[in-house]
Amino acid sequence: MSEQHIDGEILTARQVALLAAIQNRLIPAQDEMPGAGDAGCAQTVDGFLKERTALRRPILAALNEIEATAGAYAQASADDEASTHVAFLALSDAERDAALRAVEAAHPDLFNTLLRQTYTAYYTNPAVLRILGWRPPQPEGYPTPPPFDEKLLDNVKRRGKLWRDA
Amino acid sequence: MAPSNEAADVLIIGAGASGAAAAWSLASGGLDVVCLEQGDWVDPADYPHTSVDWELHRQTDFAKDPNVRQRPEDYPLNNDDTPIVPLMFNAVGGSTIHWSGHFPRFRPSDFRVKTLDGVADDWPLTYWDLAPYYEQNDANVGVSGLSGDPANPERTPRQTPPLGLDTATKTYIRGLEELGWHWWPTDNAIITAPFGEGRQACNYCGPCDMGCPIGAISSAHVTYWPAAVAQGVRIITRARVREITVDRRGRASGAVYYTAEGGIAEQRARVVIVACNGVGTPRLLLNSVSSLFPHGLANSSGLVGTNLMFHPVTFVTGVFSDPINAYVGPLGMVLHSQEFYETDTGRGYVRGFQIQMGRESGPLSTALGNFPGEKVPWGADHHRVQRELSAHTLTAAVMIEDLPEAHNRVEIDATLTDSSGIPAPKIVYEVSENSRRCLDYAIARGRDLLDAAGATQIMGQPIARETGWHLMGTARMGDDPANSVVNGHGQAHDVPNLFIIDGSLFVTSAAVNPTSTIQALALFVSDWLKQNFRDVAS
Repeated sequence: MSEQHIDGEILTARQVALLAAIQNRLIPAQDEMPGAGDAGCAQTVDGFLKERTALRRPILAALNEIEATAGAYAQASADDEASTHVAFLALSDAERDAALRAVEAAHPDLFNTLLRQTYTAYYTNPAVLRILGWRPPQPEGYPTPPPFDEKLLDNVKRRGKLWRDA
Repeated sequence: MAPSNEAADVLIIGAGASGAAAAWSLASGGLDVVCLEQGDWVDPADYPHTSVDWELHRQTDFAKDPNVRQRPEDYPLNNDDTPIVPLMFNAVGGSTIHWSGHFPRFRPSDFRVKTLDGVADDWPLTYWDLAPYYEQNDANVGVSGLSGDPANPERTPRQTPPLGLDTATKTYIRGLEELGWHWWPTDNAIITAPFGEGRQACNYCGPCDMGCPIGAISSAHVTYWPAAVAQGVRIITRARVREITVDRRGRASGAVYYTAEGGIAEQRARVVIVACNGVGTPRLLLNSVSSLFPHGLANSSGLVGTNLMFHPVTFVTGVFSDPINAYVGPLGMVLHSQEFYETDTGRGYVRGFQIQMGRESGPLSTALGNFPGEKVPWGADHHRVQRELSAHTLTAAVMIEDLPEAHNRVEIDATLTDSSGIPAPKIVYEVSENSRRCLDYAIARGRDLLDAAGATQIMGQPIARETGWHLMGTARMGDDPANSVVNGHGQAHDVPNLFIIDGSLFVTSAAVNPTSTIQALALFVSDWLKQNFRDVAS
């Protein structure tokens, strides 16, 4: 394995490594933004799976489909499959994206569950939110805007009554 | 079973918007009131608004869909046969905890659709019967807004001023004025200035849909319940009602419920009020089967559970090149347009719709496409698209009137139960042809609006699934026992000491949010009950 991961609560080390690599293609590193896998979203999704058992089946199935698809790619192009335990990791970025698009087309529900949980992990990640400049809504709230100006309603008022008697 | 309590004058089942208003009204009339609620009080410290991962909670323990939220107090729903999913919250305060606080009233014409437009049925009461109760309710809970809307009958000055004039509001006004449409600052059950005890004015934090930790939203647990409890009303929480019991004469005698500890208990009462809203109320009535009522309580008409109405809703999102920062301010609407509210058959449908000018939420909501309906793409374009959308969108909701149809219904699922083993509801619903035509017309007008407001890109979807906030019609009012479940005072035709006070009563749905009408009806029914209690209870 080219990337070291340890067992999660629900996912094995191999599955954590696969998920992190997938997530780095779903939300790749760009400028100041980290890739989703590098930001720790595989471990976060592992935590979701611990809490919400209904997610386990679709997420595990999505990982299996992606790895199976990657295995087909790897077999067609790679010569050193013995060097890796995770076929997806043996692929180039372009091949990884192609494998993901193939699974997205063949199994949209599974793929969307994986994508949704990855987005959820990424956009609730404290480091990511700090870079984006987001803070919790309370206790500060936000500044109160200027009061409403009733003069803005002059045109509407000029139209007169707009409801039916009944 | 635990020993029966002393019979209360009134048992209210459900501590949400209607149960709270009725409890306050009845107790202020000197009646002894007990309320059974399957949820609990929400601890203000439990709201997620101060957590870094606040948006995660919208997907988990504060999700609007109980099938996703899966708190112990929630019951599951079989939604396999409906394009719209019912949404609710189970706690003291009910779905008003989990709420945008929109507080429009029905119009006079909404109570007379058969007479005016030849469809559905008229209500057994008029706008003018309810008007004093709308006023009383607004005064009790606290409403921000502006009186004088020419699209509605006059009302007294609102308790606090309308929401402020931010970039989102000004952008919408630009579009509305360009088109020459009706618009007005919306009545919201959100206080913008001091009102009531222990409540703070809105500080524009944003996510009202996960509760309001400062009490700015006029949720029932901060408005009616403290006053009702001070008057002696007893709320028994984590009390899951299994069935309403009846005596040999066929009168309601109380309710059997599962306690917080998992045992069963009975609460007896002289009058029973059901306040579980458009899904929970028919579920309970249909589960209350006895030899006298083999098809469910108060169901000789066969109408309990039928005529389910949502408000079909969809969202039209505009993207703007300059920042709008519409994540600031209450998530719901700042303005509304009722330009297309009344019937104009030239548009290809009957009845009408309202456009609600809404805002945006946080970065997760943007990424998941919560309003436009499509996620931000994954891959190389992800960060660019996310940047272009976040803080740069406005979303208008178009909400249409749903007409009653008997085949749209709540029934009891054959196998699904809640965690107490109580049979769970199944929803069977389809969007009518009239509704589809109305939605399509409304979506086109939403696009017109955002275009006129200056959007550079406009996105939408034909219908939004997770929008079943408004649950109506499943135990309708009427004068004819063959065509309704309760009479014009909310009294069951079949069971004279059984009352219903929630959205189930609605004969038609109008095209506006229902909560102010639900609470006005609860006060209206309660007033009649107070005046007639001796006759009803004997």
